Parts: sequence; C-alpha cells; structure tokens
Amino acid sequence: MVGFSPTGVMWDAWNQGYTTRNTVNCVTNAVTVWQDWNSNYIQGTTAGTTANAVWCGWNQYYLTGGTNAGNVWVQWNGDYGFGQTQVQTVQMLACQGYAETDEQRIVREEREAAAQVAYQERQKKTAEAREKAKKTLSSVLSKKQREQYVKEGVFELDVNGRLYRVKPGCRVERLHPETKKVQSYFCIHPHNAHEIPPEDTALSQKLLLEAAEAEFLKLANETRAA
Amino acid sequence: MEEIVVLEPTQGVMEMLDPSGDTKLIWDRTKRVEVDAAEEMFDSLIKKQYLAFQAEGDDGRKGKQITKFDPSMERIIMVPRMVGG
Repeated sequence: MVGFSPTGVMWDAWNQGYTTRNTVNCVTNAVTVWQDWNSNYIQGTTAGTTANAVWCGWNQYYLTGGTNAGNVWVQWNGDYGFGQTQVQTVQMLACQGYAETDEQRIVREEREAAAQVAYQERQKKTAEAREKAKKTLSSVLSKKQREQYVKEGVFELDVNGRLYRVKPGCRVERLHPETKKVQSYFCIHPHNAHEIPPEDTALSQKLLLEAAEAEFLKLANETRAA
Repeated sequence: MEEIVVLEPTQGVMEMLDPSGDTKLIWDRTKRVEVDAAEEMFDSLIKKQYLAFQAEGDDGRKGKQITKFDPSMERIIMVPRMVGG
C-alpha cells in the first residue's frame, strides 16, 4: 500500500475488495464502483439515483462546507472509513456467492491490514491536530464564548450589531438578535478546509468575520433560512 | 502533541494554520536575523494569499487584519486563503 494517498487507500480497498469480488459486475474502475454502489444502495434517497446526484447530495447535505468531491471523500474516509458499518456492509454484500482463492485472500488481508494501520495512524494524527486546534481556538475566545464553546460546542459573536454563531465543521449562522432563530447560513472556509481541523476553520471564520465582516459576506455563499 | 509556548517579553509568534493544527514561528525582536526570517515567512504566505490577523491578547478581543509584518506584534495568526463554499 506504500505510495497510496490516504484517500487512495480507502478507494483502492473498495475498488479492489468490492468490485473484483462482485461476480455480477466485475468492474475495475472507481467510477463504475461508485455508480454500482449508487444504484444498489442509494436508490430512493432524496439525492437521486445517479452517481453525480448522490455525490452532490452527499456533498450538500452530509458534509458541511465541502464543495467538491475530494472534500467529501476525504472527510468520509477519515470519519467513517475503514472498519465502519457502511464499508463492511457493502463489501459483505458484494462477497455473497463468490469464493476467493487462498492466494487472493492473503493478498486482500495484507492489503486490508496495511490500510487499517494507515487509517489508525491518520486517526491519531487527526485527533492530535484537532486537540491542538481546539486550544488555539479557545485562546482567542472571550470567557463567555469559551464557556459556551465548552458547554455547547458553538460560540456566538456580536459583529457590528449582528449576531453570528460559529460551530466547527458547520456553516456560520446569523441569528435573530432576540429570538436567536437562524436567519442565514454562510458557507465560507479556508480553501484547504478538508486538510485542516474544523476548529481551524472556525478560527478562520471568527477572525475574518470580526476583522472584515464585509469581506466575509462578499466571499461567503449565503443561504437564507426558510 | 501540543507544545506549551511561553513567550519572552521580546518575542513574538506567528501561528500558521495547517493540517497539524498550526505551526508556530517565534522571533525575538532584539535579533535581526530572527525578525528577517519571520518577515520573509510572512511575506511568502501573503503571496500565497494567506490572510494575516493580529491577535490581541487571549480573551476574545477582536483581531485586526494586517498585510504588512510588524515585528513588534506579539501574536499573528496566518489563515489560508478563504473561499465561499
């Protein structure tokens, strides 16, 4: 597995493990896997039944702030990847009715073991980075914001008389100053948000919002709440 | 793991957000070579469209966006280019 990117490890595992053992659709490329997975397991969702629609749907609904397939895949891979139910289920279903040889099994198990190790190392690094980013974020919050962040996982900002709420990993919300009902959602993040901890993104949002609200609003994609 | 950074009165720190959380660059205002190195790093990040914020204190006071390195600053946070999602 040496040489695969973190994303590639998971995709490769799926691609190899799933498709090559699927006797019905013995396909060999990632796109076909995705379409197959889509048609077999995603039908009936609001995202539609084509690969692109599902992918966009995931991107829009499942992940916060992500705007491209790469972001979605990286995050999904990181959070819900190897060893989780979804992957195992897909692989289990794909394996039905197919018997691999001992040689194939050994190769697969070695590949999966290597991917598991790589996954655990990534998880460890991710956890350390998030812990570090949490401390940095906390260090620029007021006492009140810090208390709210510890208690609720969010913090509010009063910027030029407008009330915003920031939650790591989510869109920034503008709230009604009295009822605190969400008025608008703002999607804005560092261009490499999929690579950095969500707390770093929250810190970036806070800094820009407070220092240059106009620029923040100009860059952000706003969705008004219903 | 996170290192504990205690600055001397003559020191400043630049925190660059990255996949590890952040990377810190510390300079001593009394040492020209360190100031020059920090300024060089600052300028290179600005060229890459990073946003720079002077962080004032540690109790939520508003940061100021800056475009020019000032060695007298105690804390600068460098944020990668922001985009709408």
